[in-house]
Amino acid sequence: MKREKSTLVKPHNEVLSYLVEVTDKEGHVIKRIEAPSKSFVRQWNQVVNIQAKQLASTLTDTGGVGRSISVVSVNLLIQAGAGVTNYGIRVGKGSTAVTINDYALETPLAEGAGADQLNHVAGTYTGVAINGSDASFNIKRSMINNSGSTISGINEIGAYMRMGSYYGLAFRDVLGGAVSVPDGGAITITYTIKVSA
Amino acid sequence: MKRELWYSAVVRDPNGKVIARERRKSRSFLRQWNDIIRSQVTGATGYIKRIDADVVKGIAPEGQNIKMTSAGGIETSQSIVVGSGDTAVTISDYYVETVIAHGAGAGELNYQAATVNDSVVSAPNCGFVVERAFINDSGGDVTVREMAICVRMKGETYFGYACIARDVLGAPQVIPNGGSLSTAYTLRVTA
Repeated sequence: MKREKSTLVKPHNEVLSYLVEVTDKEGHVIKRIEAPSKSFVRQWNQVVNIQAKQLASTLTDTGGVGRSISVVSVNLLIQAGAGVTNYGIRVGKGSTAVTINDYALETPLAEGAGADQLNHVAGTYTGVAINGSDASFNIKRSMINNSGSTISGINEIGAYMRMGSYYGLAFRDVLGGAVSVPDGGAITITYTIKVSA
Repeated sequence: MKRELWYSAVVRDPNGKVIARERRKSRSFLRQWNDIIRSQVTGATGYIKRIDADVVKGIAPEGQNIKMTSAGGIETSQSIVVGSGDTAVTISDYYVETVIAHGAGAGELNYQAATVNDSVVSAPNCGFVVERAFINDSGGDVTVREMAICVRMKGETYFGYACIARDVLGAPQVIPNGGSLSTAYTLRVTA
């Protein structure tokens, strides 16, 4: 098993980190990357702001279009069902560095069993756990390669969220190196959101 | 890679002259912040401890979750709240230690309307500011040692209030009679 691990920063305030695991068709872990997330992006803060002030604002959706986003119960929702890619954890082939103005993955992989497509499994999540001065929870999603060939060049991961009737990028990361998922294998992304006192 | 929280506190005398100021990185979001974010992100109901210590009514995804604006009658339940306690912050704190009541009696402060400003992008940051002033009409000095953000939230049935961040000030701030305290929290993400 090839293992990469970056130094996790000491938590301050609300910190995001990720774990990437690639498994072969037998379920063996063949690659594991754990690192602090590069970034929440602007839409995350802007949706929190909409909730905080209880007023609509215009935000950029994942298609790059400005949308008026209202105060609704589904704002910030990332947990998505099987096959859903409008929101939920996603992976892609883009490698351009993250900026605060990113509004989508650069080259997201589509749902399906064709070339360079993945079958997106329903997301899962944990409850909030207290560990010393930390309070954290995980969101997780697996994507299975049923394309018939290895999918290589996966460089980016992230999460799309609901913004009213639209969808926005919540956070995005570019991996330290490209990841390949063998045919019949899977890639699983776990994001941890943690606050520390 | 993180959401940062900053606070500021500025004390003015009765003539409006600044007599003390403090600006620091916030000590902490509290677990209630993650309880609310988890509910919104996952769509699931869950546990939360409200400012009244109620843990039964829970949290559910809801449009009014995270509301930080102020309103009459709930001055010490929603938006920035101040207190006189100085016990160190822990992740499980659920309110200020000793709230300073809204009013003009001894030891009280008149809580003013809060403002939640729009998010502003200044690469690599995106943040917004919540502001609230407090006026001392009590007839004597009032000492503030702690401040917090409380938000409106909802369980499956009941609305309530939860404290999502708390700080003990670096130094106690004495608000003279006729003076004021201006506070602000900045919630920011950085790419």
